Amino acid sequence: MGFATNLAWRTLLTIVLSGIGCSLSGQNEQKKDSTEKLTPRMKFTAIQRNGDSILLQVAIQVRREGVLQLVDYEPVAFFYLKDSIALSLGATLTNDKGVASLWIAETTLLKEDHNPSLFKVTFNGTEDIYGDEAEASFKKAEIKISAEEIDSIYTIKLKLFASGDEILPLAATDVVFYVKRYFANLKLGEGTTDESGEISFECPRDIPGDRFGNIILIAQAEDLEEFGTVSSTITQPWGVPLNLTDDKISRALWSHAPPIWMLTVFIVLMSVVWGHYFVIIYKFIKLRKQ
Amino acid sequence: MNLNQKQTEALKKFAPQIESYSRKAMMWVYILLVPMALAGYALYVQITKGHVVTGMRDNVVWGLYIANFIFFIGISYAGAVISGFLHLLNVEWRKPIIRIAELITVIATLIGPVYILLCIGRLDRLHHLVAYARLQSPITWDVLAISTYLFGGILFLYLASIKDFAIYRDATDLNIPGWRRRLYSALALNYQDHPEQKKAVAVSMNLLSIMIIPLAIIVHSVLSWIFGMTLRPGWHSTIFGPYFVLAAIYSGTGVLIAAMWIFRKVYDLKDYLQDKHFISLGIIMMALGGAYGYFTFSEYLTDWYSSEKWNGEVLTKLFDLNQYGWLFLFANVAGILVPIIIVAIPKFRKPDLITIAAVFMVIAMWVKRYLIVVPTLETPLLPMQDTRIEYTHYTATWVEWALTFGGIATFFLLFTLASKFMTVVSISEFETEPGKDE
Repeated sequence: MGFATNLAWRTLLTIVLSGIGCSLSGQNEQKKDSTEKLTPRMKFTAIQRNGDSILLQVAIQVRREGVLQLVDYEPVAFFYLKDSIALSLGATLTNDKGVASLWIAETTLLKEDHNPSLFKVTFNGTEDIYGDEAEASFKKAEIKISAEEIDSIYTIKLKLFASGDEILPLAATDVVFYVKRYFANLKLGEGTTDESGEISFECPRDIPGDRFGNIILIAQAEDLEEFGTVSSTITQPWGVPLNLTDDKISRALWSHAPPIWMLTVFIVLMSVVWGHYFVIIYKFIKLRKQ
Repeated sequence: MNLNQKQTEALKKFAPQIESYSRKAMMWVYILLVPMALAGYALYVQITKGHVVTGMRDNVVWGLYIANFIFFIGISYAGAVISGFLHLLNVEWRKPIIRIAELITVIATLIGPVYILLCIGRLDRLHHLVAYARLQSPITWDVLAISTYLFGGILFLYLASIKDFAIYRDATDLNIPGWRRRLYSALALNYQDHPEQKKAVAVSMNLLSIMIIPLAIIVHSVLSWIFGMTLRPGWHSTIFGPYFVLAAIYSGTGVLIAAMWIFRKVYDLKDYLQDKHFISLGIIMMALGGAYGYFTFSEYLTDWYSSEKWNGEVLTKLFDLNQYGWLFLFANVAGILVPIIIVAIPKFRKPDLITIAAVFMVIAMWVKRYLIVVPTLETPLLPMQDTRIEYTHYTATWVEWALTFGGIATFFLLFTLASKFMTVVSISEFETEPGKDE
C-alpha cells in the first residue's frame, strides 16, 4: 500500500470514528432527554428527647445513574394525622445532607394511652424527581436518667419505659451511652435493659469537659419499631476541666504574648532607631544653646 | 550667616520663589482646591452613608484605598533612600535635588496612611491599634514602622533645612513678612554657622542618613508582609519583601524625576537642575527597572510553573484581556520596558523624554499596586459559598476616585506650599557655580 493510499485510509477511518463518536454522544444526550422522573427514597424517623420534645426527621435520596444521591435544599412538610385529618406541623427544607428536621417542643401529640400517634411527611418533588410522602407512627416513650458516684465510680442509671397513663418498662431493649463531643457523639458503652427496663453504665473519669469540667451524657435507644429513637441527656461535672491557657505555649505567634525572640528584635530595633532620634534632638537643643 | 558669592547668587535667584505667590501659583492652588473639595464631599458621603458607597464588599475588602496607600508609601522612598544613599556616598550632584527628595518623603508619608483611615470602617476604634496591639501582627509592625519612618523623615528634612532657615532669617534682602522671619528664626535654632554647630549638624545628618536607609527598607518590607504573610494566591510570596522595596525605590525615583522637571520648568532652574541630574537619575531608574522586571518575571514564572490551582486563577485573571490583561500589559510595558528602552538609548537621554518615561512608570506602578490588591481578593483561597454574584467583582465608585484624586491634589498642594516656604534647592548645600560640571 503506497503512502498516499495509506494516508487516505487513515483519514477516512478517523472521520468515520469521529462521526460515530459524535453521534453516540448525541444519542446519549437524546437518551438523557427522554429519561423518566426519579423516585425518591424517604426515611422518616422521630427522636423523642428527654420526654419533653420530639424531633421529626426525614432523609430523602434518589438513585441517579446507579448512584444514591441525597436531595438537598428541597421543601418538605410535616403533618400530624388525627382522625384521618392531616394537621400541619410545619414545613422546612432538606439540608446539605438531604435531611429535613422539625422540632416539636412538646409531646402532647403523643398519646398517653400507649397507642401510636401517626405522622406524615410530604415531598412535592422537583423537575426530575417525583413527589412522595411517608408515614410513621410512634408511641410515647422516655428514658429516665440519673447520675451518682458509687464507690468512686461515676455511674449512670437509666430506666427506659413507655410513658403515659401507665408506666410500661421496655425490657430487652438495646441502649447506647454517649458523651457529646464537638463534631459527633463519642460512644462510651452499650447494653440491653433488664426486665424492669433498667440498665447502668460506668462513665470514665478522663473525659475532657468544658472550663468547669461539665460533660453532656446521652442515653439513646435507637430506631425502636414502635417508638422511634428515644433519647435523654444529663449534664454532669464529671469531665476534666479545660485549661485554656497552656503554659507550654504561652509565647507563640498565636498566643497572647509574643515569642521572646520577636520581643527582643522589636525592642532592639525600636531602641536603636528612637535612640538615634533622641540623640539628634539632644543635639538640636545643644545647638540652640550655643 | 555669612554667605559666599555662589550662595548669594542662589538666594537672589530663588528669593522670588518664596517671597510671594504669582498669579500662576494662585491659579494652580485654586485648580488643586477643586478635586480637594470634591474629595471632601466624597468623604462626607462616605462617613454619613458608610462604606456601602465604595466598591468594597464582603469578598473584595480592599481596593483603591489600599493601592493608594502602598503607592504613596512607595514613592516616599525618593528621599529616604536616594538622598540618604547619595549623602553617604558624598555624591556631589545630589545637592540640588536633595530638598525635593526629602519633601517627597515627608509629604507622601503624611498622605499615604490617610488612605488606611479612609478604608477603616470604625474610626472610633482607631485607638485599639495601640491599646490592643499584638506584637505578632503585621498590622502592628506597619503602624510602628510608618510612625517611626515619618518621624525620621521629618527629622531628616528639618535637619537638612536648618542652615537654610538661618540664611532666610539673616537675609535682609528677602522680602518676607515679620512673622515668617520670626518663624525662620525659631526653626533655625540659633544656628550661626559656628564650627561646633556645623559639626553637630553634619554628624546628625550622617547618623540619620545611615538610619533612614534600613528604616525605609524595613518599612516597606513590613508593608509587603501584610500581604505576604497571608495565604492568598498572588500575595503569599517569599520575595514580596524585596519586591516591594525595589518597587518603592523605583517609583520614588520616577516621582523625583517628574518633580525636578516641574520645578525646573516653573522656576527656570536649568542652571541648577541640569541635564546631568536627569541622566544620572534616569540611569538609576533604568537599573532599578531592570531589577524590578527581573523580580516581576521571577514572581509570575514561579506562580505559573507551580500550576497550583488558585495561583493559576489569579494568573488567568491577569493575562486575560477581558479581565485585567490590558492593565497588566500596561503596568509591565510602561512600567518596565519603556523606561529601560528610553534611558538605554543614548539618543533618548534627554530630560523631557526621561521625564515622560518616569511619569508613565509612576502611573504604571500605581496600576501594578492595584493589580496586586484587587485580582487576588477576587480569587479567594477557599471557594466562596452563598455569596452574592455582585460581590465577587470589584469596581471603584466615584467616592473612591474622588478621594484618590483628592489625595493626589493634596500631595501637589503640600508640595506647592512647601516650595513657597523654603527653596526647592538647598542654598546652604550649594557651593559650586551654577552651569558648571561638578
